[in-house]
Formats: sequence, structure tokens, C-alpha cells
Amino acid sequence: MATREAGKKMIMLKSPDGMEFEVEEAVAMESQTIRKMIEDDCADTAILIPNINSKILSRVIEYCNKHVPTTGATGAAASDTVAPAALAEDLKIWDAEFIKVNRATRFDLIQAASYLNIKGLLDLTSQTTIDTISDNSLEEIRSFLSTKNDYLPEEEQTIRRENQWAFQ
Amino acid sequence: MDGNGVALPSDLLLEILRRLPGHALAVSHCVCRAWRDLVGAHAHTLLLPQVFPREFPGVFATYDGYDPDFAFFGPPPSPSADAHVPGYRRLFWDHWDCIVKQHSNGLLLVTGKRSFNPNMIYVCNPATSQYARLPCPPTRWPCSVEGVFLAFDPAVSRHYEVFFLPTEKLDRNDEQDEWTRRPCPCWIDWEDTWLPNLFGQDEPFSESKEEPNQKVPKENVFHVLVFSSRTGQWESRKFTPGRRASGNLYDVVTTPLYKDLRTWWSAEYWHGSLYVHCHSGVLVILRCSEGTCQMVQLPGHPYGRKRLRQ
Repeated sequence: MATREAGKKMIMLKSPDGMEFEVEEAVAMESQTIRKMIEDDCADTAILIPNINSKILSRVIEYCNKHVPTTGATGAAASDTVAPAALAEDLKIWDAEFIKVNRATRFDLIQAASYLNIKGLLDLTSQTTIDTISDNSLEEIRSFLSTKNDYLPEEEQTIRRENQWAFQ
Repeated sequence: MDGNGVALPSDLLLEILRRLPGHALAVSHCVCRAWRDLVGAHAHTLLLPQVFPREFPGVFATYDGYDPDFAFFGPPPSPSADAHVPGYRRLFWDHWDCIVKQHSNGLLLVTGKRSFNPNMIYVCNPATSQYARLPCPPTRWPCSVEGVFLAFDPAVSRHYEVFFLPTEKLDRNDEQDEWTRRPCPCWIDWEDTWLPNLFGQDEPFSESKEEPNQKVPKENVFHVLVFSSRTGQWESRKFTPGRRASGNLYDVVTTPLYKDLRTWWSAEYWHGSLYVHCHSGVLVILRCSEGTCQMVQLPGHPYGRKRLRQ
């Protein structure tokens, strides 16, 4: 968690279940929604983030902390000696670890990223779903999304025939 | 749940669907009814967000296919204008100097007029009035940019390609004497020619139809220059003879009956293959994903069989 340092403005984020998170302004401004609030001076003391529970919000803050373009925000003591390419590689690995969550959490993260308008997080969280739909068979897609096939057999045959080219 | 079978609101699901490639979107039709309805209701914005940004993209009209007076009838470009009155607008500032060579799924291939500058080639989206000028290929353009065809299928890719088919006869001018003395190519009678199913599944292949000396020589490989909007560059691509590409037809295609005959007439792009109609009723099919080339003699060719038999 970020520590209060001289010269760094802190922002309080509140989740609807009453938890409060103190974050650096720069980190909070990774979210375009919050950035707009701050720029419009709607954020004097604390910002209530509706619809996002504390568990998801803490993960979102974790993501923003890692991704804020910074001069060593998250204890990156060696940032001077690490090449940008290595940093990007490191972020990629971190992202891959970060997204290893169950489906419900991932969908919650998608919703949070969409509401808070954090493009990187939205890309990251929706990519798994996109990959699944792109690369898997119909049955695998359905089981991944726990969606039921509600087509009648002959109906499914027709619609599969209409879209036959996509299955080749 | 938003009635779409997934624990996501429909607008977020749309956000995800919007990022799918065309084929995956088609597959997602088949997942369940709710998805089919969702995709169906937003089909055009999902498929072509940047190609057709407006609800009604408009109608493109060109007179007789070769008149420069081409225009686009669509909603006014600015949202502030009365959106219900379709507007008429010309496509280019110098439209008098342009002709539409070909179109492919909503994009136009536009070239300069012969009298003006035939070497200008644009790919134009009439819905947005955007256009891109193609760089010059590594070889010179042939006269009136023959053999240049646009391939665009938004269901497969958001990028277009421009094919520049070989126009070898144009380079034979210096050896014209030898060229005119060449024996007529051996024509295949279309009545005896089996037409493959051009749109997909291959029918069983019977060995007996193939003549014994039909081993396709190496030079029958088609070298085609392809411009891709993905890379912004021309590249040379090889198309090797497919199962239905007889050496005879290769000779027919590359050796027109007389010097000024156009080799390539028209082309359509469908499901990742370019179907090119060339002279003497030969259809050349370039299967891009396989890198193969098929040739078929179409029934009834433009010069009559009598003349070809001479």
C-alpha cells in the first residue's frame, strides 16, 4: 500500500461496503472516470465508488499501482538500472499473474474497469474472454461462459449451416 | 444476468464482442438465442465500426461503371445537420479525373483517368469519404492499371489487400514476331471440362481426367504483387498450381489471342479467395490462405469456340 510522502497528494476511495482506500492521486487518475472527477473538483475529501465492492476495488487499485507511469511508486528501487523493455516484460508477467482469477471475479473486474474507464485493465480482463471465444469450439465457449444451449436441434443445425464458413 | 446468459451487462458483452475477429463473431451467433439476437441487433456496428460508422451508410452510385460522375448518397457528414435528409456528395476534389475500377464489400478501387494520371491508385471508403493512396509497386504499373484488384472482406479482416496480377504479355512487345508465330494454345472444350464446386467443398478428384503430360512445370507458379493495408507495403506472393490448374489453361491465360487483348477483366473477393475473370473465359481462383491457384474454363467464352478452333 502506498505510503504518504511529502508532496504527493492522496485521495480517499470508498467502496459501498464501507472500506476506505487511501491512494496517491496519480494512481487514482489511472481511472479516467476518477481523473475527470478530480479535474472537475468534485473530489475534495473522498470519492465513493458505487457498484464496486472492496475486494474488487482493492484489486483495481493494485493494478493501478503497478501500472502508474512513475518514478518508482511501488518500491521499484532499481528502476534506474532496469531497461524499459525489461520493465514491460516484467509488467506482462505481472499482468498474467494478476488475471489468474475465477470467472466471476474476472467479470467483476471487467465491469469495474469499464465503469472506472481504465483502458489497460479492460483490455487485460476482456482479452481472456475474447481468446476463449476466438479459439475454442462452441461447446467449450458455452462451458466457459456457463451459457446454456437453448437452440432446438434443427434450429442449431440451421444456424450452424448459415455460419459454416466460420467453423472451417 | 442481463438475459444474455452471461454475468455481464449487455453493453459490456457488446464491448467484448466488438473486439472479436469476424469468424469468431459468426461462431458466437451459434452459442445461444440471446447471443444471436444481441449480435443480430448490432451486426453492422460489431462488424464494421470504423467502416460504416453511421446507422445508414448510404448508397454509392456510378453510371455504367466507368463514368467519372460517381457520387455517394448518404446521411450528411456532420451530426448537427438534419440527419434525416440523405445528402449527395462527390467523393473527390478531382473526381473528373478518376474512374472507379472495382469495388469490394463497400470499399472502392479508384484510379486516375488514362488522359490524366493512370498511375494514381486510391482505395476509398465512400461511407466516410476517407481514402488512401497506394504507394507505387516495385515494378511499373501496366497501361491503365490492368490486373489491379481490391480484396476486402470485413467478416475476415479489417484490412484490405490489393492484388496486382502479372501482365506478362505487356512485356512481350520486343519479342512480338516470335510471339505472333506461336502456335495457338491447346484449348479445352468446356463441354468436356468438369467444373469444380467453386464455393467450398472439393468434389472427389478423379485421376483419369488429368492428362498424363500435365505435370505442372515450375514456371506455372503465379507471382502476384500484393499490397496489404496492414503493413502498408507491397510484397511478392507465390501461388502454386492447385488441384485444378492445368498447364494448358496457364498458357491460355498468359498468351492472349492478340496483343491488345486485356488479360484480366474483373474480380470478386469471397471468403478469402479472389475470383478473377480473365480473357477467353478462364476463371482464375487465388486461394489466399493456401497460396494456391486454380484455373477453370468457363462455359461459353467471349470470342466463340469457332474462332478459337482455327
